[in-house]
Amino acid sequence: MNHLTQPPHAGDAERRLDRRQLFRLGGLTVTTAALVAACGGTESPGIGRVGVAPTTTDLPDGSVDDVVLLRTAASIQHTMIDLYGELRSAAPSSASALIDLLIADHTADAEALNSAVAELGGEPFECGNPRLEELTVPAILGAINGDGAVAPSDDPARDALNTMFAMETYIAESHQAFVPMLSAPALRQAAITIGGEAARHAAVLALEITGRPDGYLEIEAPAEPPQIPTAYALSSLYGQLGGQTLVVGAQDEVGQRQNIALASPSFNTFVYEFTDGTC
Amino acid sequence: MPDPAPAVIDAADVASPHGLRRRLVGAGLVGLAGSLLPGLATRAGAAPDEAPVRQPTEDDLVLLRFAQQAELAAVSLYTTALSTELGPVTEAVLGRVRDAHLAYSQALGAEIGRTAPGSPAADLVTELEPAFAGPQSGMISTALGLENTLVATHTQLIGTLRSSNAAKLIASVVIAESRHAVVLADLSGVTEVDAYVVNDATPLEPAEG
Repeated sequence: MNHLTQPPHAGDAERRLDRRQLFRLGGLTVTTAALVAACGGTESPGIGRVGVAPTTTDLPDGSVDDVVLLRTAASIQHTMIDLYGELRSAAPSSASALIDLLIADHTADAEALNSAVAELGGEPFECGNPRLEELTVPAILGAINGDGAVAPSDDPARDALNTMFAMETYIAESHQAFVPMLSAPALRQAAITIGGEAARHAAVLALEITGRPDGYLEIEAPAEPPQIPTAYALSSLYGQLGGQTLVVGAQDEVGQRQNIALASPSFNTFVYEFTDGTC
Repeated sequence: MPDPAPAVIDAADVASPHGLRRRLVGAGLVGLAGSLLPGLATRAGAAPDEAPVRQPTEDDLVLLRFAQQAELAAVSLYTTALSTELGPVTEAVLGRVRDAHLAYSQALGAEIGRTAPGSPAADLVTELEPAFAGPQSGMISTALGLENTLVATHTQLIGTLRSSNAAKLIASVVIAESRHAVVLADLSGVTEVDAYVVNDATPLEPAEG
């Protein structure tokens, strides 16, 4: 039997009426839910939790501004003052006047940078850079002096000078990188003044390490690059921003030395306003 | 050491009391920061023409054209030097330095665009050319003075330019030219450590207009 062709019974009409009532009830429910949602609070309870869990703490604001950049610059200067003091005993005596000059320059630059931080309303940072002091400096000193698993350097004087050359190049590169990041032209000028000074330090160290005139520039590239990169005063046409690798320490059982990457400061190296120093 | 031309090159006597230099650097930074405070305080509500910019403004272009002419003057002067009898080391150094200045002038030309002058600062060339064409000792001392002057000039420009792109380019030039100065100081026979690192040169000033 085809029920589509059958006339409707009285019971069917009652069932249709029931459906209408159901539709009305559904519409009322949806409207009420929307009204309650609209009038409710806007705070999300976050991800649902089961059981007892500690409350989360918001990360501090890590925005990079002029004060952060200048504090970072000052922290790098402090790291160099401490590091060069450590390297002094390993360096050749012929370099002692140069090391005195480097430490004096970095001390003066750190003071000047921190004065600028204070003038801008920030808190001066008078410790070394936390990331450099946590990772980079221990790696360098460990490779030169030896630390348990690593044998002491076969030539500490060479490594001390190469470290200072790499660090001065790093400072020059860092301050060059800060120039377009700083908002005010006068601060950019201050940054490149320090960067240019560090570039001169690096060039003088290259002459001390590689000698004269061999340390002036690379006239002909060797067929096989040396394991320890040769330091040149004129290393490139432009100031570089690509980082460098410092090679220090004794050779291990497979003839390799410690390679330490030095890249210009980034988010993990900046000294934010909430960064505390430990010195 | 021969004294290069006054007013333009003032860097022959690069040695100076170290403490004085440090005081100058420190005072400069503090002074610079102090002079910034009013500008920084009003930055949030600054007029559009005071906000930092990436591309060079019209005022920046005037300074960049001046910088390109100074770099091209250096190219011309080192080309003159390289046409004289030089030892192989000096020739290699001056050749590298000349190539570097040529690269800087080209990069500045790209930053400036169609209004790049493409010609050297004639007064600078005229003033220094006799020394660059003369005996090697005087030539190297004058070249040292020129490099120090260019470093001082570009450093001052960075303190004036509003464009971050232009400042970025000139910053990379300052780093390299600072290294040029050290090698030229060594070639000129200086022995004091300060003589390598101190730069008391007077910056070149762009001509009026």
